[in-house]
Amino acid sequence: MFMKRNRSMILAFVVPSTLLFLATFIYPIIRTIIMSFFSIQEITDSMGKWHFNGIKNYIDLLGNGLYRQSWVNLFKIFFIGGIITLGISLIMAVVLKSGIHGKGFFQAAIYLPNVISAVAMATMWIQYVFNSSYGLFTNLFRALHLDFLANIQWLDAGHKFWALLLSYCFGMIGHFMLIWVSGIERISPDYYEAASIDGASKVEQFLFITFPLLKGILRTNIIMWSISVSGFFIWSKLFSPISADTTTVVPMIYMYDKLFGAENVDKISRDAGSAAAIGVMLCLFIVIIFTLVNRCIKDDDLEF
Amino acid sequence: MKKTWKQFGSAALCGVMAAALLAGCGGAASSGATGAASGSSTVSTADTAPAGSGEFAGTKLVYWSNWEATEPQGVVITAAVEEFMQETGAVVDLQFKGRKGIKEGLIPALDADQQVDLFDGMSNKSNYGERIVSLEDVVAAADYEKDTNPVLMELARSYYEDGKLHEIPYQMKANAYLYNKGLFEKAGITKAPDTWQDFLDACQKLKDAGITPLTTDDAYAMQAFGMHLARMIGSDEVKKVVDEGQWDRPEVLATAKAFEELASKGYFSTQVGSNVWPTGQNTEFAIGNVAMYCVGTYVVNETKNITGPDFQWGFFGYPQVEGGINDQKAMVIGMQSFAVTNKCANPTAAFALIEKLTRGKWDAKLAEDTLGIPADVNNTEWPDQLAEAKPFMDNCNEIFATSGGLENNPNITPALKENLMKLYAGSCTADEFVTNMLAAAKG
Repeated sequence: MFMKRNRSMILAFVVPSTLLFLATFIYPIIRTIIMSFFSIQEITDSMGKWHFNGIKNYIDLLGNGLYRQSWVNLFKIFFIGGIITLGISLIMAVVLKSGIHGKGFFQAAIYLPNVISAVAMATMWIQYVFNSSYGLFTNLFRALHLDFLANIQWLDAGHKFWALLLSYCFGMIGHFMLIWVSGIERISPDYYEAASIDGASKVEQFLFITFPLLKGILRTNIIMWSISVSGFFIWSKLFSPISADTTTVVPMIYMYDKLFGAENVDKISRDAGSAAAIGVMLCLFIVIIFTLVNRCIKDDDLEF
Repeated sequence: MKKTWKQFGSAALCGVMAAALLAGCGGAASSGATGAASGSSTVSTADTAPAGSGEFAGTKLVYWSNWEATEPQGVVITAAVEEFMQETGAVVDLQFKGRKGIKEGLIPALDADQQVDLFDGMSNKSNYGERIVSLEDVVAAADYEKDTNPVLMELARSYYEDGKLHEIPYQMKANAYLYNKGLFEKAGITKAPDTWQDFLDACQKLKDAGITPLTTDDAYAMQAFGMHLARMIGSDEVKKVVDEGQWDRPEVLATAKAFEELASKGYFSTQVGSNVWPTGQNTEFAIGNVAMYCVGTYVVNETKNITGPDFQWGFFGYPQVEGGINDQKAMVIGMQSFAVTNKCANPTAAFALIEKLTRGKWDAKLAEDTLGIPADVNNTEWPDQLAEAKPFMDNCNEIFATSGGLENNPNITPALKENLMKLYAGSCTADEFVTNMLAAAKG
């Protein structure tokens, strides 16, 4: 009898939220996938105005040099930025958990860029760090008499991508560091104590205890990084305001211009169908990363 | 019986919770729609309207503006709308949506049958299709057209296939070289350049006086090159170059050579290659380190807090080039504009408000407070900073597209911008520029 009553209670609570979930998440996803196979001008056009064109949106996009470049940039951010961000954040987490003084301060200081608006952060980097006449890097390297570094124009075509990547990673390190810290805190100090008694160095302890026991966190961090990178937009927009730039364009920027139309042209063209196709490809990117990471990194072989 | 009541009570409670949740969502959605999600602000002009018995008593207009309430344009428009309401008895719901709010939100709002009667924003609203209405009749009825620069009315009509007027110009701009007259005087230059040779001479005199002649920013890199090329082949042919990939035309190479020469002679700022807008505009030109910047007249307003009152503004049309097919009477002119939507039940009232903002004292006030160009030709007093732009605009007989048409292909603009910045910085030659653009056009 209790089971029966519980079942109706469970249904009463679950059904509304399930319906809302279907309406607000599943329906837009399915609609976006369908839209990607149609020629649609405005996102709000009724279905009567849609024209089926099969996979033409996908073919046109993949045949476009700028769109392909946007994916090249995205993969560079994902791989190179991922190694920098996850690597440095892991090192910082390990150092912070090694018992140094002022741990709370450093933890807060490293996380601080995450609470500052991305717009303010990007403006700071562009206007006050990378500026080639009075910027921090220019003045610092000049003071150190490192003229070859002081003369680098950080925001010219040859360096702009790296400047963007550096500033983005700087802001993201604190976020991932906290996740690593939470993983390290789960590891019992007994392992380290036993390893120390057996004569293991700090580096050996990291390589043979900490890192293997953080595999689950590594998996989470890679998936979260792929989600952050696939939505990469505001930094790119601020590093090349008004119109896109080959060195900083990413799929989201291309999608925005497709959806809302580029200005300063005779005929403003808005293409919601192609924008939907870009959305689908970005979604696939995350799904593929998710699948690969789950296949390659398994953490169920260790119990602690 | 007891069990049934309990079950009923549970179900009712869940129902109320679900209803409350849905009501919450509904409320949020509707307020989002009227409040315009993306950072808009609404000025409470509608609340202060008098219950007057004027010409449009009982009429309510919803006006979406692409300015921010705190911008000079927003402040003047708010005051003008208040006066309009006092005089006509109309109620105007003025909502400041910002540029993004209009670009991203207006078409979805209109398609969702939201009431928006009129709006302003960048010119060329042809992508709104049937969502905006022809204004030919109301313009003719008000005998409005005679007081606007005819070239601009022609431009406004040119955006539409039916050749009819769907938008009313205001906040005009002219693009060419803005310059620092103080630095010109210091270099002994007494007359603004008319021809390319004059321009080169002026650059050399500035350089000899220890002044950097030129700078730009990535966002505006296309302007000078595009106007130069348009001088040689005309704006329509420039569009063909970018749309059809005709980068191997000799005029493209000649234009690239002209800029290669400017770079090789050291006329550009040494940091031009790394200027991300607004770095060059603000930290080189506006503070008086560089003499010339090729851009629109709106830069005067944008930099007024940096330049201060002592900056001596000058303007000259893009110089005539040897072998070119047009002169300084052909130039880039643009504007903001008003449009009336097909949701508007009283286009006459909407147009009356547009007329209020683009004629007489409020047009003059807009020009004065925004350091802009008046829409009403009877407002002959232009801000001092733009005095030199007036004869060029008055004499204009051919309008170039933005950047002479060089930005007409969004797929090629990023590669173009990158290679132009390299050309200006001297890190790529004219031949390399052409090769790179041919490669970019092939995709």
